[in-house]
Amino acid sequence: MPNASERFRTSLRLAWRQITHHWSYPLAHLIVLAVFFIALRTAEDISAKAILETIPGDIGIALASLAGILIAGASASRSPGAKFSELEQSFPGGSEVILGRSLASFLASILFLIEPLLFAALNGPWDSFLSGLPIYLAEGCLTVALPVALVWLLAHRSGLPTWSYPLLGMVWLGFFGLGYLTPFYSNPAFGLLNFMRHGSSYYSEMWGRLLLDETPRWADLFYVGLGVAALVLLWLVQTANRLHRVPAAAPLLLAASLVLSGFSAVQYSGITSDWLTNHTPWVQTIDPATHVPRQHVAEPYPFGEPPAVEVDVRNYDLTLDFSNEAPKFHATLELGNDQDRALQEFVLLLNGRLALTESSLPCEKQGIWLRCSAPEAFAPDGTLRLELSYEGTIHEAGMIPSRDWQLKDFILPNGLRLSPQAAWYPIPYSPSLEDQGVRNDIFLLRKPALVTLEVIQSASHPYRLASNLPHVDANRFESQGATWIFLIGSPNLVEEQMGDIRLVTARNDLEAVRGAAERYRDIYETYRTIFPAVNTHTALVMALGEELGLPEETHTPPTLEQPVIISSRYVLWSMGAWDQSLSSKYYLGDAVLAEFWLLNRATQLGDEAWSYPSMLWQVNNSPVWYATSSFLWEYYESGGDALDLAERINVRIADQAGGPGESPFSQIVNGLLQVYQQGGQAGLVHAINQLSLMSEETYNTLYAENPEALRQWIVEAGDEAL
Amino acid sequence: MNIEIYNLSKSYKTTRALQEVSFQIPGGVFGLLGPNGAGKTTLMRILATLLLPSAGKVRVGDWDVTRQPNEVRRHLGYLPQEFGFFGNLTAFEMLDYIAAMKGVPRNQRKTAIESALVSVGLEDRARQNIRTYSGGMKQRLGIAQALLGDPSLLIVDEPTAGLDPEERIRFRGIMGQLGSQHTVLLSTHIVADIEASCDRVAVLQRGRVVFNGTPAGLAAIAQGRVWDVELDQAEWTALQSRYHLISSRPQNGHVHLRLVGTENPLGRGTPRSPGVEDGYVALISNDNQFVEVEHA
Repeated sequence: MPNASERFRTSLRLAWRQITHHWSYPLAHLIVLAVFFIALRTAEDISAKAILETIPGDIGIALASLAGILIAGASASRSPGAKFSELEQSFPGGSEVILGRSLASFLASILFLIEPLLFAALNGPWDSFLSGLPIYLAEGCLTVALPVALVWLLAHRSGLPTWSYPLLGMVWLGFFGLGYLTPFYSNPAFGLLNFMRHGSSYYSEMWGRLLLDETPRWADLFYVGLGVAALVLLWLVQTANRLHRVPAAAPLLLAASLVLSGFSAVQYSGITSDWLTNHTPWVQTIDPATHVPRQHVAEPYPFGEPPAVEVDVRNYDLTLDFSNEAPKFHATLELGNDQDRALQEFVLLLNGRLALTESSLPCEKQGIWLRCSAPEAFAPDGTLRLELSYEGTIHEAGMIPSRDWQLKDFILPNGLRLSPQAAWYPIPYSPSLEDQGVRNDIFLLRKPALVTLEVIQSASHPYRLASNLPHVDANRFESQGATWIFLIGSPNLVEEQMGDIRLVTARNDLEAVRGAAERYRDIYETYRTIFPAVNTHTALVMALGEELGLPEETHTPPTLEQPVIISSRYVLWSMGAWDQSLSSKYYLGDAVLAEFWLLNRATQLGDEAWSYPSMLWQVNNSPVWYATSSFLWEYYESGGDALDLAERINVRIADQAGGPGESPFSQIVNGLLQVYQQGGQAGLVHAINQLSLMSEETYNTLYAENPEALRQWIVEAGDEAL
Repeated sequence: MNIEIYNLSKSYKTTRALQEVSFQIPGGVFGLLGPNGAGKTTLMRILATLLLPSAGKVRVGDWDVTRQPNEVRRHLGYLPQEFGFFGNLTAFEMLDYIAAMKGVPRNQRKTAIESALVSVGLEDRARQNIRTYSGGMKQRLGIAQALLGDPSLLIVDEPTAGLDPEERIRFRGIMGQLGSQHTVLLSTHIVADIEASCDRVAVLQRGRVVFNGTPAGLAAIAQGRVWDVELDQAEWTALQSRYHLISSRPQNGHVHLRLVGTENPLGRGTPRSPGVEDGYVALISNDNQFVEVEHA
């Protein structure tokens, strides 16, 4: 045994020396270093942990595993290549020499993780680096160990010919490319074979990696099983060849490791298949006629004919209790019937994973559908109180562009993210909204409701909470009018009041998004002077990550108390204080204007302002809104200087497709410019107020074909203020 | 160290490389002679524990090569027919690695390596990279590595193939020295190597042992059948099917020949004392008839 140990150490040392003292080894490190510090330097703005857990970290593991394949191939082929094999087979010993050499290959390969670690460490902060280090090292080592062990198994007897190295590299690249090249890779189980580490997701500084359920654990165990199986097989083959016997424990170990691997793969696939087939509240289809994507409730209505009418929710009183292991929910709803006939029953949407435990009215839940019966006819203009208790957790996934799946809405020990699309609170089913089928709107209320939301936190995992609803205290939110409820919680969540802006973001993103938040503040203060009727004192800006769902929506509806802007930190970074591009206008100016526009309408038109599809048209498709947003952006950029503004407007008109003709755009912006030149800000305020109240029907009927008339109308509206 | 081989057979898919081979090697330098494909390397590889026999038994000292391969390896120094080293290492580094593999204790390694290098005359080249070595030096380094661990048995397969005459002579000298301390099994198809180094010799032909005895015994097989004769080309063409040619040399428009055959060629031949090579040729030409001239 001492001899075996000495042989193991000596072979390890020699193989290590032969690998690392070859000129190609430091050269390969230099190349990897260049990849990180030149090609990936755009990732410098994210935290160390984010680097390790996202694409740069994955690339680091991928390069290390590629290096592992080549190093293992070269190392395993060294003896056969030098014709030393037959000699060394005559030496005493078992498989310790092969194990020592393969360990040297593995160690030399995982040193390629140094570059991503260095890159991450230099990015900091230090605590972020240290918190990301253990998982990165563990997963990196597991991922690299498998190809190294497989190549040793393949090559240790007779070595590999030189031509096979590119082939092995191509096989490796093939696994990587499967994610992008083949349609069947949309099955996330293929992520198991990705030597860049299992699957992937965008990184969130708020919640870390948004991987599905326990898939990381099963993927890791899959790799452990396969790696051990390869090693045991290597041991078995080597012992059989050298000692002419099979080690008694080897078949047992081999079987156990293969069972572990297979079981883990099945579990992994089971989870991911479950995502593909169940529990997705909505689906997106493409309208074949218009090619417009539309969203629908995924599950067909199970209780016969789907309802043609809907109820209103006028008041929500929601309690989320996370103090127990299984989250419990209690919802008290005040329902209204604004139909012209009595309702015998009504239908709500509630996430399919949530189980109804108690209800004050007879209710039946199947999947996402919750059908309740009114005790007596629910008369027009009447109200009805409904109390529901339900429990369960929320785990909703979505597909990201690389065809991997990541969590979207979830309740986890390290935080929660609940968007309306997860239907975590009862949402009245609106056939009219589903007919519109536009993005997330099917989970919005048609009319704003009074909402109170209280969260009872787990004592063991407390975290900070934020919502689109205004805070009452740390765990309580209230709004006098909201059409949606978005709740997030994380230990990494921070809030900062920056003048009139309340910035909500992740601790590690705070520094990076402050610049954009300051611009929001400037724009907000400027635009607020244009909409004096809107009684708001603060705007909520949530700078989140690349989580699916809400952050991709630039124009999230406001609550009655505050504009609500939810954006991706990546967008905000690029919109820092220096950016003057049209992107800034879109992501900053338009985002703020859309909130004021809708609030202005809500203040003066009441519930009508929220009705679909007019709300959607108002801040997305309306030529009036678009032209006004361009004018106001130049107004903001010029600081109110009339001459500068005029020059900017002329440039903007010239930039428009078709040039400075008689388009609605040029007529509207020229009209607003004329108003400003003649009546100053007071005229502008009045004219824009009138424009924001204009309906789609009015525009189409009177002005769509006659934009000159619209310009005159704007000028007259401005004159009224004088 | 005594080696005993009983009814050893080895078959590959379509070939019977060894057929019921039995003999003993009592010690000293033992030669294994035979034409290419006779089964020498197969036998050597079985003895070196690299190959499992299809049938039969081989004992090296007290150990069975099939059941106790590691015990055999602990007492074995092996030089295969074709081998190489890691060219980027020096001879000393390479031998240090091999010594560790053979279980030479760390504190004895340096002495053992130096001693092995002295034995093969490479002590002055110990710190040179192996890739700078000539073929003969590599061959000597091969012997040096075989000597590490002080093995009781040395198996050397075709060690002089491809060496120049000077290296070959040097090599035979080394073999002779080793025979006094180790059991050496030397496989070759070069009869002169056997003549120069071996105490005993076995001849393999088509997987069978056709001779087992001393080199002198092997030479004696040709007693009375070795002739020197001078013939013209036409005469030789007529006779050649009945004789085995040992050597030929052109002389004055004729050919001076050394032949093995039962009859005096054309009555003009001069009888000569047989050498080992003559005996070997006579034996091989006897077409696999075992000639037990002298048992061990």
